[in-house]
Amino acid sequence: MREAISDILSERAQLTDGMSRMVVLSLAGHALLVASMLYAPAFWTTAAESKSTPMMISLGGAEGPDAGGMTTIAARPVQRVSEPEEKPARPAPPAEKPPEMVAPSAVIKPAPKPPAKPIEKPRESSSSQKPTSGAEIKSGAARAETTGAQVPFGGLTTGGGGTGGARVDVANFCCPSYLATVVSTIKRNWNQGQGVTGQNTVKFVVHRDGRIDGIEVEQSGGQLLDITSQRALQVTKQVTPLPREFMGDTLTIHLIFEYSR
Amino acid sequence: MVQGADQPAGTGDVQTDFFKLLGEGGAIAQVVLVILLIFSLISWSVIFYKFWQFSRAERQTKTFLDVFRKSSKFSEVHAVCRTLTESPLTGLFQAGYGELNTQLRGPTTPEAKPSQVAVRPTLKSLDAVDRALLRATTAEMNRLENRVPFLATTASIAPFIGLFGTVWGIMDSFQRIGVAGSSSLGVVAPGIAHALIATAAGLFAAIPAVYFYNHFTNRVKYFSGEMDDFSLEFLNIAERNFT
Repeated sequence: MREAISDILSERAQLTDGMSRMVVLSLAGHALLVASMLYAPAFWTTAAESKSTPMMISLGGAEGPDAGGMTTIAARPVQRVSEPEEKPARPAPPAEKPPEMVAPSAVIKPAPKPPAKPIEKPRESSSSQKPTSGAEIKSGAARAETTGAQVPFGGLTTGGGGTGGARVDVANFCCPSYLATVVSTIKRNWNQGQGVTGQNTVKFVVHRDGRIDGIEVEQSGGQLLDITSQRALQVTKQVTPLPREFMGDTLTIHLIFEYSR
Repeated sequence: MVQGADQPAGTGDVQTDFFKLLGEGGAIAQVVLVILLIFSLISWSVIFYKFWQFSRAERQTKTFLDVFRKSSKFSEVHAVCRTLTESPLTGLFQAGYGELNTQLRGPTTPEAKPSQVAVRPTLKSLDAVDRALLRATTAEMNRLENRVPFLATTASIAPFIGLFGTVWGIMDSFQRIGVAGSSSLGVVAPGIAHALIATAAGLFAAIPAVYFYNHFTNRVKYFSGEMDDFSLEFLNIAERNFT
């Protein structure tokens, strides 16, 4: 049993549709978009940037010949000592009157003074022997750092000792927190209790990937302590890689180890 | 010495960096981007297709109505129908005409003239014609609405897929922060920038889909009204002439 209308409807349902063509069109559209982002970036990003006109500052004087040019000294006025000003001559004082003649009078002359005793000069202190002069200020373990960041090291266990620290060769090192990380890593491998009090400074180099080498004792504190400090670094071998903000390939760190009994 | 205007270097680098970023992401991020690209491709295909279909349907409907209202014979109109296949009204007319034909003594094709004075053939049931028109209307609506729901799906799913990619990327970059042990901008920013591409791609696919879904639903509604109108008109003519 089949109705005539069903045939008509099914016939219409099978009409060709152009979907596949549209898929191709859509693909082409997307490809075009991607290509335009790839190859025509100039007007997307630079429009805002190029509008700002930069202000030019010439530190070498005005452009052109004989205008100072590149030499910074040329345009500068020369400094020299000025001629001393001539002062007006002072009028000479009138000549003194010659002394008048006076009759001598009989006056007893005072007795001549005994010659004054020569003052004893302080003896030059000899270089080999210092006079004992009581308490004096001696250079201690504390050191004033002028460059680099200082990170306390060993402060927890020194028990009243001086302050130690890690110091880097780079002025204005960016990341004190990085130093703290490195120091705490090394401290884990450091056998601090040696029964001896003292301190030494060890220099080492951290590479970009965090590898440690170039371990060198800079300031010895006795053979035992030197070996202990060096071993701490040798065992550590690897620390956190250098921070991205730090531009150099290697970082040299001077680390002060403090030992207390 | 700052003499000489150095052109700000790296204007093209921004774009190449963008595409480098696309390539750098993890497997999950790339899968997300590929899925979004496929969604975008298909939804734009649907958009183009529907535009093409609707514009043709509209044009042919206009022509069809012109012919239908001017001619005095259904057979004339039926002959024109073969060239105007895209218009939904053609389907309605063909169904109605077929039903009239079968009722007015079947396959011998009666001359179904609207203004027949001589032997007046009569319809057995006007309801049957109405039903035929209703069936055709449903079928035509299906044809018009076909594939439009995909746009709604894209519109609602694509942002979520993009968000998933972003969340995954941010998780990844936080993990990297943990490994690097530093929370500096240099460590965090690239990962997050990359993660955000997924959300951008999701929105890129979803926004046109939302717009065109509403647009096409509106047009389907318009065609539906036109079809109702036409079926009533057809019924009226049939009743006047064949009962």
